[in-house]
Amino acid sequence: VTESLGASLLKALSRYGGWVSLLPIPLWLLWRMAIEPTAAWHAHYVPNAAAEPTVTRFESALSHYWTGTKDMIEPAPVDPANVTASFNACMSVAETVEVPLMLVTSGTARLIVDDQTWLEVKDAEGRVTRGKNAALTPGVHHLRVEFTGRSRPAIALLASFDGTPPRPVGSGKLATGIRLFRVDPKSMTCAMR
Amino acid sequence: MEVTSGSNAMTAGRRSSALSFDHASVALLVCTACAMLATLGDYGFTYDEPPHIRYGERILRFYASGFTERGSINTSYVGGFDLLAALVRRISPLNALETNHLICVFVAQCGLIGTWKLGSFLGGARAGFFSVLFLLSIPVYYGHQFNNPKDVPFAAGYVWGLYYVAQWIALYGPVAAPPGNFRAPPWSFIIRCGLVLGLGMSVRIGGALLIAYLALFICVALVECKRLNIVHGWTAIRPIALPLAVAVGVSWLLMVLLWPKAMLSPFKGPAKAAEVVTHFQSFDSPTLFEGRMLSSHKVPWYYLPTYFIRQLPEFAIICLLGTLGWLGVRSYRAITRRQQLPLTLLLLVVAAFLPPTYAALRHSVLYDGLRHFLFLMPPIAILCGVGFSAVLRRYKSGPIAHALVACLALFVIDQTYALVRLHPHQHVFFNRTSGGTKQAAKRFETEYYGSVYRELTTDLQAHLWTKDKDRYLNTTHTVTGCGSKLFFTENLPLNFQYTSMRDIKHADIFATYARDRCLERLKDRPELLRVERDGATLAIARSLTNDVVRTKQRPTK
Repeated sequence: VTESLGASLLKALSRYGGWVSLLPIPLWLLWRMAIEPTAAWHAHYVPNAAAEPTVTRFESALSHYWTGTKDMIEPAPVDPANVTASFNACMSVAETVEVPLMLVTSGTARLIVDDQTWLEVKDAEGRVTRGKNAALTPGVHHLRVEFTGRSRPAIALLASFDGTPPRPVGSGKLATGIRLFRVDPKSMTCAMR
Repeated sequence: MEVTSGSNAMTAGRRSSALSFDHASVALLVCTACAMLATLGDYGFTYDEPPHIRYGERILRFYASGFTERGSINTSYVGGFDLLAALVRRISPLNALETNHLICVFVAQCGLIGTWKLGSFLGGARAGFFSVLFLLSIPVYYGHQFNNPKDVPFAAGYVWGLYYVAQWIALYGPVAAPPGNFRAPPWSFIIRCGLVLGLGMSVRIGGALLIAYLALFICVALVECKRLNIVHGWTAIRPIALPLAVAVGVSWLLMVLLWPKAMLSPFKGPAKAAEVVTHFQSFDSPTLFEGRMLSSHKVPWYYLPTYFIRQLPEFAIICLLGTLGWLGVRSYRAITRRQQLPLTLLLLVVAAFLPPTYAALRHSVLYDGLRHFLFLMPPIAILCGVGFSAVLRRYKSGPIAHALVACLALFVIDQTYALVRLHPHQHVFFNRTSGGTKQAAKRFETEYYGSVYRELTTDLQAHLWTKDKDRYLNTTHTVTGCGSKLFFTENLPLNFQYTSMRDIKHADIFATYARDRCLERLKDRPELLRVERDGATLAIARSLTNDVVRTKQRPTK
C-alpha cells in the first residue's frame, strides 16, 4: 500500500508538479504582506484654494513629487498645484545615534522634532535641499513635517540610518534599534508601543 | 507522429527514468522560481513598464465604471497582462513597479512550465527537462523575464498555445492511433484550448497566429492522411468542425473581455489592431546594427537572424541546427517511404521560423535587437531539447552519449556563470563567436531597455555621498540623460532633480545608458562612474559642473 501510494504521489508530482513551482510566488507575496510594516506617516492634506475637501490618510514613506502630468502612477490626493500638508510619525530609538537628516522641498517646509524646528526652508524657488546630522537620544521622538507648495510641489524627508546615502524615511527602511510607528491621529502624540 | 509521452509500450526502466526526469524538471522549476524571487529586487524597471502600468489602471477604471470611463483605452495593445497586474496592485504591499516585476516573474514561470509540458509531450520527460534547461540557459530570455511586460508574457502564451495545437494534431488528428477521421476532443480540452489561445491573444493580437497554426496543421494533417491513404475527402474534418468553432469562439471571447477596445468594437477593433501591428510604421527608433545607426524602418533582412546567431549560446545553435537537420532527414525519408511526417515537430519549426521570415520579407519595423521576437525562444529551446534527447536515445549509454552529456553539463555551467556575471543585465549577452558582450557592444544594441539606470543611480548616490557628505546633505543635484525622465524620477530620491537634454546647461550630472549611442555624448566631461559587464560599458555618469563648454555631441551616423 505504501509503495503504491508513493508511486501515485510521484506520478501526481510529475503530472501537476509544474504548477507546484508557481506556489513560491504567491507565498512570497503573502509573506511580504505579513512582514510589511504598517504605514507610519499620518498625512493630512488641505488644498489652499478651498478649505474642503481635505484628505487624511496613512502613508508608508514621506517622498512626494506631484507633477500633475501623465507620468504619475499614483495621483495626488488633492489639487497638486496648490497644497498644504502635514505629516506626523513617531520614531523609537534604542540608543544614542547620529542620523543625517535631509529635507527636500519646492515650497515652504519645516521639520519639527519633539516640538523643536530642526530644518526649515522658506519659499523655495525650485527644489531646495537642507540637511544636518541629528543626534537622537534613546526614547520616542515625534517627527512632524509641515509643507506648503504651489506649482509642481515636492516634499521629502530623507535619512541615513546605516551609513548609506539618505533615502526617504519609510516604514520599512530603518536600522535595527530604530523603528518608525504610527502617531495617534486624534491627539497627534507618540506613545511607546 | 512524435509523441512519446503516455505510450503504453513504455518499459519499467523507461517509466522510472521518465519519472526521474519529471521530478528533476519540477525541482529545476521550483529552484528557478526561488532564485528569481530572491533576485527580484536587483532588476530595474524598463521603459515599457510605466505605460503598461498606466494602461492597466485605465482598463480597470473602464470595467469598474461599468464601461463608461473610456479615456485613452482605444489602443492596439491588448491588456490581459496589464489588467492582471493592476488587480494584484490592489493587494500588493510592494510599489507599482515592484509588483509589476512580480507579475512578470509569475507569467514567465508559466512560460517555463509550458516549455516543459510541450517538450515532454513531443519528446518525453527527458526532452521536457532539457527544453527547460536550454531556455534557462539563454541569458537574453532569462534577463527579460523580470521586467518585460509584453514580450515574455506573449512568449508564455505562445508556448502554451503551441502545446494545445500540438495536442490537437497529435491526439485527435486522423493519423493518431487508431488512424481514421479526425476525432472530436473532449469538451474540457476544447475549453482549455480556447482559454489558452485567448490568453495568448490577450497579450498581443499576434496570438491569433496560433489559430492560424491550428488551421494550417489540420489541413496539413488531412493532406498527409490522403497521401498515406488513411482517410479520403474533406468530410474527415467534420467531427472537429464544431469543436474548432467553439475553441476559436472561447478564445475570441476571452480576448474581447480583457481588451476594452475589442469590447467596444468586437470585430472591427481586433481587425484594426491586427492591421496596425502588421503595418506598424508609426514609430522610428534608430537602432545600432553592425556598427551603424539605422532607421528602424530600414534595417536589412538579416537583422533578426544576425541577432539570433549572436545572442543564442553557441551550443544551443549547434543543437538547433542538428535538430533541424535530423528533422529534415526524417521528413525526407517519411515522404519517400510513405511514412508519417513528424507533424508536431514541424509545427514547432514553423512556429520558430515563420514569424521572423515574415518580418524579413515584409521589411517590418525592427529595433531593440530580438526583443520583440523573444516568443521564439521557447520553441527554439524545445527543438534543442527534443533533438538532444533524441540523440541521447540513439546512442543510449555509449561513449558518445557520455561525451554529449559532458558537453551539456559544460554548457550549463558556462551559461550559469554568464548569468551570474551579467546579473542583473543578462539581456546584454552576446556569445563568443560575436567576440562576447564587450566587442558586440560597439556594433549592436546591448542596454536598450533602461533597467541599468537602477544600478547607475544607486552607484551615483553612493559616489556623491562618499565624496562629500556635508555637501550632499545641502545640495539638490540636477541630472539629465537619455531616455525617459522616469528613469531618473523613479530611481533617485528627490534631492536629485531631472532636467531634459534640451536644458542640459542647467544640469550638473549627465547619466545615461547605451541606447542611441548616448555613451558617446559629452565625452569631454569628467567621468564619475560607469556600469560595466564583461568589459562592456552599459551606462555612464559624467560631471557637468566644471567650466568646460558644454556641447552636445551627435553620434556619427
